[in-house]
Amino acid sequence: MIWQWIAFGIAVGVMVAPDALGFSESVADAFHILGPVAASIGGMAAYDVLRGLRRAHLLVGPAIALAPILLGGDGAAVAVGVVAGLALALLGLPGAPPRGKFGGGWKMVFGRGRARTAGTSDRR
Amino acid sequence: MAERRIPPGWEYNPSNWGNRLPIIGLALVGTAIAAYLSAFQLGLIDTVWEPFFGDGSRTILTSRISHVLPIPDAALGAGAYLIDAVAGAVGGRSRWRTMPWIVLLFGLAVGPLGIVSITLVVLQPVMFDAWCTLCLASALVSLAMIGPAFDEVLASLQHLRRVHDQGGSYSRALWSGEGGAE
Repeated sequence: MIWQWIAFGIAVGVMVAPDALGFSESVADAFHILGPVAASIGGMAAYDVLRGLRRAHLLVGPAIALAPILLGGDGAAVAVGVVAGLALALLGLPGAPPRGKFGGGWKMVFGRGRARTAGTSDRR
Repeated sequence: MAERRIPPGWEYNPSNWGNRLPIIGLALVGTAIAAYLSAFQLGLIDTVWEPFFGDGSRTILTSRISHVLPIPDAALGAGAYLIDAVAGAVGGRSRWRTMPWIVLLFGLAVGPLGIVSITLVVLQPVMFDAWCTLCLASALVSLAMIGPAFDEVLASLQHLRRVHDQGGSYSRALWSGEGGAE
Protein backbone atom coordinates (compact mmCIF):
# COMPACT_ATOMS: atom_id res chain seq x y z
CA MET A 1 0.00 0.00 0.00
CA ILE A 2 2.74 2.44 0.96
CA TRP A 3 4.53 1.85 -2.36
CA GLN A 4 1.53 2.99 -4.35
CA TRP A 5 1.28 6.16 -2.27
CA ILE A 6 4.95 6.71 -3.14
CA ALA A 7 3.97 6.21 -6.80
CA PHE A 8 1.23 8.78 -6.25
CA GLY A 9 3.79 11.25 -4.90
CA ILE A 10 6.16 10.65 -7.83
CA ALA A 11 3.30 11.19 -10.28
CA VAL A 12 2.31 14.46 -8.60
CA GLY A 13 5.96 15.48 -8.97
CA VAL A 14 5.75 14.72 -12.70
CA MET A 15 2.59 16.83 -12.86
CA VAL A 16 4.11 19.92 -11.25
CA ALA A 17 7.68 19.62 -12.62
CA PRO A 18 7.00 21.50 -15.89
CA ASP A 19 5.75 24.57 -14.00
CA ALA A 20 8.51 24.37 -11.37
CA LEU A 21 11.39 23.76 -13.79
CA GLY A 22 10.16 25.45 -16.97
CA PHE A 23 10.00 22.62 -19.53
CA SER A 24 9.07 23.16 -23.19
CA GLU A 25 5.36 23.25 -24.01
CA SER A 26 5.20 19.83 -25.66
CA VAL A 27 6.99 18.11 -22.75
CA ALA A 28 4.85 20.06 -20.29
CA ASP A 29 1.67 18.87 -22.02
CA ALA A 30 2.89 15.26 -21.93
CA PHE A 31 3.72 15.49 -18.22
CA HIS A 32 0.46 17.30 -17.46
CA ILE A 33 -1.45 14.41 -19.08
CA LEU A 34 0.61 11.43 -17.89
CA GLY A 35 1.19 12.77 -14.35
CA PRO A 36 -2.49 12.81 -13.30
CA VAL A 37 -3.03 9.42 -14.97
CA ALA A 38 -0.14 7.88 -12.99
CA ALA A 39 -1.31 9.61 -9.80
CA SER A 40 -4.78 8.14 -10.29
CA ILE A 41 -3.35 4.67 -10.81
CA GLY A 42 -1.32 4.98 -7.61
CA GLY A 43 -4.22 6.42 -5.62
CA MET A 44 -6.49 3.54 -6.62
CA ALA A 45 -3.92 0.71 -6.50
CA ALA A 46 -2.98 1.76 -2.96
CA TYR A 47 -6.09 -0.12 -1.82
CA ASP A 48 -5.71 -3.88 -1.68
CA VAL A 49 -8.96 -4.50 -3.55
CA LEU A 50 -7.67 -2.56 -6.61
CA ARG A 51 -3.99 -3.41 -6.30
CA GLY A 52 -4.02 -5.14 -9.70
CA LEU A 53 -4.26 -1.68 -11.28
CA ARG A 54 -0.61 -1.09 -10.33
CA ARG A 55 0.32 -2.98 -13.49
CA ALA A 56 -0.82 0.06 -15.48
CA HIS A 57 2.35 1.77 -14.21
CA LEU A 58 4.20 -0.61 -16.55
CA LEU A 59 2.66 1.33 -19.46
CA VAL A 60 2.56 4.85 -18.05
CA GLY A 61 6.04 4.72 -16.47
CA PRO A 62 7.92 4.07 -19.75
CA ALA A 63 5.70 6.64 -21.49
CA ILE A 64 6.86 9.26 -18.94
CA ALA A 65 10.47 8.17 -19.41
CA LEU A 66 10.31 8.35 -23.21
CA ALA A 67 8.15 11.48 -23.64
CA PRO A 68 10.87 14.11 -23.03
CA ILE A 69 13.35 12.18 -25.17
CA LEU A 70 10.96 11.87 -28.11
CA LEU A 71 9.64 15.42 -27.74
CA GLY A 72 13.10 17.01 -27.63
CA GLY A 73 13.07 18.07 -23.99
CA ASP A 74 16.12 19.61 -22.33
CA GLY A 75 18.44 17.75 -19.93
CA ALA A 76 16.35 18.46 -16.85
CA ALA A 77 13.16 17.23 -18.53
CA VAL A 78 14.88 14.03 -19.69
CA ALA A 79 16.34 13.44 -16.21
CA VAL A 80 12.98 13.95 -14.49
CA GLY A 81 11.18 11.80 -17.04
CA VAL A 82 13.63 8.90 -16.97
CA VAL A 83 13.99 8.78 -13.18
CA ALA A 84 10.27 9.18 -12.46
CA GLY A 85 9.19 6.90 -15.30
CA LEU A 86 11.51 4.06 -14.34
CA ALA A 87 10.55 4.41 -10.67
CA LEU A 88 6.87 4.18 -11.61
CA ALA A 89 7.49 1.16 -13.85
CA LEU A 90 9.29 -0.59 -10.96
CA LEU A 91 6.33 0.17 -8.70
CA GLY A 92 4.08 -1.55 -11.24
CA LEU A 93 5.85 -4.86 -10.82
CA PRO A 94 4.19 -7.60 -8.75
CA GLY A 95 4.84 -7.11 -5.06
CA ALA A 96 3.97 -8.84 -1.85
CA PRO A 97 0.62 -10.66 -1.69
CA PRO A 98 -2.35 -8.61 -0.45
CA ARG A 99 -2.75 -8.36 3.29
CA GLY A 100 -6.47 -9.03 3.28
CA LYS A 101 -8.57 -11.80 1.74
CA PHE A 102 -11.22 -10.91 -0.80
CA GLY A 103 -12.91 -14.21 -1.56
CA GLY A 104 -11.02 -14.84 -4.78
CA GLY A 105 -10.88 -11.21 -5.85
CA TRP A 106 -11.88 -9.99 -9.30
CA LYS A 107 -10.85 -13.33 -10.86
CA MET A 108 -13.77 -14.94 -9.07
CA VAL A 109 -16.16 -12.46 -10.74
CA PHE A 110 -14.76 -12.43 -14.25
CA GLY A 111 -12.89 -15.73 -14.37
CA ARG A 112 -14.14 -18.87 -16.08
CA GLY A 113 -15.56 -21.80 -14.22
CA ARG A 114 -17.79 -21.97 -11.22
CA ALA A 115 -17.36 -19.55 -8.37
CA ARG A 116 -15.75 -20.86 -5.22
CA THR A 117 -17.33 -19.82 -1.99
CA ALA A 118 -14.68 -19.51 0.66
CA GLY A 119 -11.02 -19.82 1.46
CA THR A 120 -9.95 -18.86 -2.03
CA SER A 121 -6.62 -17.25 -2.73
CA ASP A 122 -6.34 -13.63 -3.77
CA ARG A 123 -2.77 -13.90 -5.00
CA ARG A 124 -2.33 -12.44 -8.43
CA MET B 1 -25.86 -13.56 12.14
CA ALA B 2 -22.62 -11.58 12.25
CA GLU B 3 -20.94 -14.22 10.06
CA ARG B 4 -23.54 -13.68 7.32
CA ARG B 5 -22.45 -10.08 7.10
CA ILE B 6 -18.91 -11.05 6.09
CA PRO B 7 -18.69 -12.21 2.46
CA PRO B 8 -17.38 -15.79 1.95
CA GLY B 9 -13.60 -15.83 1.87
CA TRP B 10 -13.31 -12.31 3.29
CA GLU B 11 -11.93 -11.18 6.62
CA TYR B 12 -14.18 -8.17 7.08
CA ASN B 13 -17.53 -6.79 6.05
CA PRO B 14 -17.10 -4.11 3.37
CA SER B 15 -20.60 -2.75 4.06
CA ASN B 16 -19.78 -1.91 7.68
CA TRP B 17 -20.48 1.68 8.61
CA GLY B 18 -16.83 2.00 9.57
CA ASN B 19 -15.97 1.51 5.89
CA ARG B 20 -18.82 3.57 4.46
CA LEU B 21 -18.94 6.62 6.71
CA PRO B 22 -15.54 8.00 5.61
CA ILE B 23 -16.65 7.73 1.97
CA ILE B 24 -19.93 9.48 2.74
CA GLY B 25 -17.94 12.17 4.58
CA LEU B 26 -15.66 12.64 1.56
CA ALA B 27 -18.69 12.84 -0.74
CA LEU B 28 -20.18 15.59 1.44
CA VAL B 29 -16.87 17.49 1.38
CA GLY B 30 -16.92 17.14 -2.42
CA THR B 31 -20.51 18.38 -2.50
CA ALA B 32 -19.56 21.46 -0.48
CA ILE B 33 -16.55 22.28 -2.70
CA ALA B 34 -18.50 21.79 -5.93
CA ALA B 35 -21.49 23.78 -4.61
CA TYR B 36 -19.15 26.68 -3.76
CA LEU B 37 -17.56 26.57 -7.23
CA SER B 38 -20.96 26.38 -8.91
CA ALA B 39 -22.12 29.43 -6.89
CA PHE B 40 -19.28 31.35 -8.56
CA GLN B 41 -20.12 29.94 -11.98
CA LEU B 42 -23.77 30.90 -11.56
CA GLY B 43 -22.82 34.43 -10.53
CA LEU B 44 -24.13 34.09 -6.97
CA ILE B 45 -20.71 35.15 -5.63
CA ASP B 46 -18.24 37.50 -7.32
CA THR B 47 -14.92 35.97 -6.30
CA VAL B 48 -13.56 32.48 -5.82
CA TRP B 49 -10.92 31.44 -3.25
CA GLU B 50 -7.56 30.80 -4.93
CA PRO B 51 -4.50 30.82 -2.67
CA PHE B 52 -1.83 29.51 -5.09
CA PHE B 53 -2.50 30.06 -8.78
CA GLY B 54 -3.42 33.73 -9.14
CA ASP B 55 -6.25 34.04 -11.62
CA GLY B 56 -6.19 30.30 -12.35
CA SER B 57 -9.49 29.38 -10.72
CA ARG B 58 -11.34 32.18 -12.51
CA THR B 59 -9.79 31.12 -15.84
CA ILE B 60 -10.83 27.49 -15.35
CA LEU B 61 -14.29 28.18 -13.97
CA THR B 62 -15.22 30.60 -16.74
CA SER B 63 -13.68 28.53 -19.56
CA ARG B 64 -15.77 27.30 -22.47
CA ILE B 65 -15.38 23.70 -21.28
CA SER B 66 -17.04 24.53 -17.94
CA HIS B 67 -20.11 25.87 -19.76
CA VAL B 68 -20.38 23.33 -22.54
CA LEU B 69 -23.56 21.94 -20.93
CA PRO B 70 -26.72 23.88 -20.04
CA ILE B 71 -25.68 23.90 -16.37
CA PRO B 72 -22.16 24.64 -15.10
CA ASP B 73 -19.86 21.64 -14.65
CA ALA B 74 -19.38 22.34 -10.93
CA ALA B 75 -23.15 22.11 -10.39
CA LEU B 76 -23.11 18.72 -12.12
CA GLY B 77 -20.25 17.72 -9.86
CA ALA B 78 -22.17 18.79 -6.76
CA GLY B 79 -25.13 16.66 -7.90
CA ALA B 80 -22.87 13.69 -8.56
CA TYR B 81 -21.21 13.97 -5.13
CA LEU B 82 -24.64 14.13 -3.52
CA ILE B 83 -25.64 10.93 -5.36
CA ASP B 84 -22.42 9.34 -4.00
CA ALA B 85 -23.34 10.35 -0.45
CA VAL B 86 -26.92 9.08 -0.73
CA ALA B 87 -25.91 5.85 -2.47
CA GLY B 88 -23.29 5.31 0.22
CA ALA B 89 -25.81 5.80 3.01
CA VAL B 90 -28.72 3.70 1.73
CA GLY B 91 -28.97 0.13 3.08
CA GLY B 92 -27.76 -1.75 6.12
CA ARG B 93 -24.59 -3.58 7.03
CA SER B 94 -25.41 -6.55 4.79
CA ARG B 95 -26.23 -4.53 1.72
CA TRP B 96 -23.45 -6.10 -0.37
CA ARG B 97 -25.74 -9.18 -0.31
CA THR B 98 -29.22 -7.79 0.32
CA MET B 99 -29.11 -4.72 -1.97
CA PRO B 100 -26.48 -5.31 -4.67
CA TRP B 101 -28.21 -2.76 -6.93
CA ILE B 102 -27.45 0.14 -4.61
CA VAL B 103 -23.84 -1.03 -4.16
CA LEU B 104 -23.36 -1.22 -7.93
CA LEU B 105 -25.04 2.18 -8.36
CA PHE B 106 -22.65 3.50 -5.71
CA GLY B 107 -19.69 2.07 -7.62
CA LEU B 108 -20.94 3.53 -10.90
CA ALA B 109 -21.37 6.94 -9.26
CA VAL B 110 -17.95 6.91 -7.59
CA GLY B 111 -15.90 5.41 -10.46
CA PRO B 112 -16.99 7.57 -13.42
CA LEU B 113 -17.03 10.70 -11.24
CA GLY B 114 -13.39 10.05 -10.44
CA ILE B 115 -12.54 9.61 -14.11
CA VAL B 116 -14.33 12.87 -15.02
CA SER B 117 -12.44 14.70 -12.25
CA ILE B 118 -9.10 13.35 -13.47
CA THR B 119 -9.96 14.36 -17.02
CA LEU B 120 -10.74 17.89 -15.84
CA VAL B 121 -7.39 18.01 -14.01
CA VAL B 122 -5.67 17.06 -17.27
CA LEU B 123 -7.59 19.74 -19.19
CA GLN B 124 -6.67 22.57 -16.78
CA PRO B 125 -2.99 23.04 -17.72
CA VAL B 126 -3.12 21.53 -21.20
CA MET B 127 -5.99 23.61 -22.57
CA PHE B 128 -5.99 26.69 -20.37
CA ASP B 129 -2.45 26.86 -18.96
CA ALA B 130 -3.96 27.37 -15.51
CA TRP B 131 -4.64 25.52 -12.28
CA CYS B 132 -7.57 25.76 -9.89
CA THR B 133 -6.88 24.82 -6.26
CA LEU B 134 -10.42 23.80 -5.33
CA CYS B 135 -10.84 21.87 -8.59
CA LEU B 136 -7.69 19.91 -7.68
CA ALA B 137 -9.07 19.36 -4.18
CA SER B 138 -12.31 18.09 -5.69
CA ALA B 139 -10.38 15.69 -7.93
CA LEU B 140 -8.44 14.45 -4.90
CA VAL B 141 -11.71 13.82 -3.06
CA SER B 142 -13.05 11.86 -6.05
CA LEU B 143 -9.90 9.77 -6.27
CA ALA B 144 -9.87 9.11 -2.52
CA MET B 145 -13.37 7.61 -2.70
CA ILE B 146 -12.70 5.05 -5.45
CA GLY B 147 -10.47 2.57 -3.59
CA PRO B 148 -12.53 2.35 -0.40
CA ALA B 149 -15.79 2.06 -2.38
CA PHE B 150 -14.74 -0.79 -4.63
CA ASP B 151 -14.31 -3.46 -1.97
CA GLU B 152 -18.07 -3.37 -1.47
CA VAL B 153 -18.63 -3.45 -5.24
CA LEU B 154 -16.39 -6.52 -5.47
CA ALA B 155 -18.32 -8.27 -2.68
CA SER B 156 -21.64 -7.61 -4.44
CA LEU B 157 -20.34 -8.80 -7.82
CA GLN B 158 -18.99 -11.97 -6.18
CA HIS B 159 -22.41 -12.51 -4.59
CA LEU B 160 -24.14 -12.17 -7.98
CA ARG B 161 -21.63 -14.58 -9.52
CA ARG B 162 -22.23 -17.14 -6.76
CA VAL B 163 -26.00 -16.85 -7.20
CA HIS B 164 -25.63 -17.37 -10.95
CA ASP B 165 -23.29 -20.34 -10.58
CA GLN B 166 -25.70 -21.99 -8.16
CA GLY B 167 -28.56 -21.68 -10.65
CA GLY B 168 -30.14 -18.56 -9.18
CA SER B 169 -31.35 -15.51 -11.04
CA TYR B 170 -29.00 -12.57 -11.60
CA SER B 171 -31.84 -10.07 -11.77
CA ARG B 172 -33.59 -11.42 -8.67
CA ALA B 173 -30.36 -11.31 -6.73
CA LEU B 174 -29.60 -7.83 -8.03
CA TRP B 175 -32.93 -6.28 -7.09
CA SER B 176 -34.18 -8.30 -4.16
CA GLY B 177 -31.06 -9.68 -2.52
CA GLU B 178 -30.68 -13.40 -2.06
CA GLY B 179 -31.75 -14.63 -5.48
CA GLY B 180 -32.29 -18.23 -4.39
CA ALA B 181 -28.63 -19.15 -3.88
CA GLU B 182 -26.43 -19.79 -0.83
